[in-house]
This record gives sequence, C-alpha cells and structure tokens, in this order.
Amino acid sequence: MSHGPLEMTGADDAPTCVDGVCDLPAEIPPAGDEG
Amino acid sequence: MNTPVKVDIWSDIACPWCFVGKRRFETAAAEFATTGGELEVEYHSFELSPDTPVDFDGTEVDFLVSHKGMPAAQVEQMLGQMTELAATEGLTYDFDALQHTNTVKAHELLHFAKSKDRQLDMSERLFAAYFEEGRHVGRVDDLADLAAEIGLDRDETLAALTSGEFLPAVTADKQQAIAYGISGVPFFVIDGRFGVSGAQDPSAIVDVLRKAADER
Repeated sequence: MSHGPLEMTGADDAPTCVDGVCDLPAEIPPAGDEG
Repeated sequence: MNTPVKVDIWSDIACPWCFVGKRRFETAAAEFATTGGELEVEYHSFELSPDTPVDFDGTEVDFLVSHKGMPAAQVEQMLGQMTELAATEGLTYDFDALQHTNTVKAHELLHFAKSKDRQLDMSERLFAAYFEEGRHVGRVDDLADLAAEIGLDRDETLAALTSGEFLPAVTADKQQAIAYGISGVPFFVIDGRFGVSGAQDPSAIVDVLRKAADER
C-alpha cells in the first residue's frame, strides 16, 4: 500500500478499522483458548 | 528544539481502535514531554462508513451483520474482545448502548471546535459519548449538546452544523487522506514526513516523535 510521500514507521500489524470493519484485538486470546 | 513536532491524526469517531489509539498516543506524548518534547496535535476527518444513515435502526451487531455481511457470532466475539482490550486502556466500551450513526456532522463539529481552539477536548468528548455513554453523535441537536458540555456556545454550534459551514474542511481532510494513501484508521502523520498506521504501542510513537525532532 502506498502512503504517498510518507516514510512509514512503527509495527506493520498495528490494528486499524477499514471500511467499517475493525481488526480483532491480538492481545486478548479468543474465548475458549484459556485451556 | 522550540518548534513543536506536528502530529496530524486521521480518525473516525465510530472507530474503536481510534479511541484506543488516542489513549496510546497520549501515553507516548506524555513520555515525549518528559524529555522536553513539544507537540502540536490536529485531528482530521475519515469516514469509515459514510453510507450509514443518521438514524440507523439497530445495534452495532445488526449493522455489521446486515451492512458488512459478517457472521453474528464473529461480530459478537469481536466486540467482546474489543471491550476487554479497551478496558486495558482505561476505557469502558458499551456496545449494547452504542447508537450507530453517520459521523459526518461529528467531523464538522471537530472542525468547528478547531476554529475555537477546542478540538482536542471535543474529540475526547465525542469518543466518550459514542463508545462509553451511548450518546447519539449523528444529530445536530445532540452534537450541539455535547459541544455545550465542553463550554462551546450551543446556538453557535447548532448554526454552524446546520449550515454545513465546515463540510468543506471535512472533504479536504478526506482528500488529503486519499493523497497519503490512507485506507484505515487511526493513522498518524508526523511532521508531514513519517506515517504511522494503527493503534501502535506508545513506544513506537515515542520513537518516531524523537526521530522527527532529532532530524530537524
């Protein structure tokens, strides 16, 4: 993905919302994964 | 270093990661300030779902299922996890109370508030009203109430929102986002040079703020 003249920094996988749909939080394990 | 580092933030009020990203950015800004760093922060408009009706009749789950085609179970899991994650940032998301709506007037309000040097307070008030308090942020009367709650003149706010005086500023922000290639939010532009996408850890934000300051 191009970001015009910007130099991109930071983590590539930081969560965002796109077109009304948001990334799932990676830090919280899904329900039922606790063992 | 006396000139503040400029931070331009593209976000939408109806964006759960944007409120989380705001908190993480504020943590980074506080850390940056401990070493003498100064910031100038400006919020810009990005509409995640501009086709949403102002008076959407349904819940957030209904919206994501009917408009985005997501399975209801997946939506409920997503919102539950988002609520837990937000809590780790001190935010109390309430998706059951949330009133899904179109946010273009909320963006106009942010530009009106900027004209009064109150944009940061207005941004915080709008995010909290939407995600934590179940307030409506799409109707001009409700938005004027929220503006009055931070000390802006309610009648002047209502007139500005009704006339659409700040709609061109919203449109200009959206066009600048396209020029930068921004497709998701939150998105941070530092000194017009560095781009940072997403709700980053504060350490990543601090790193780029220091880099921008050092390279001047």
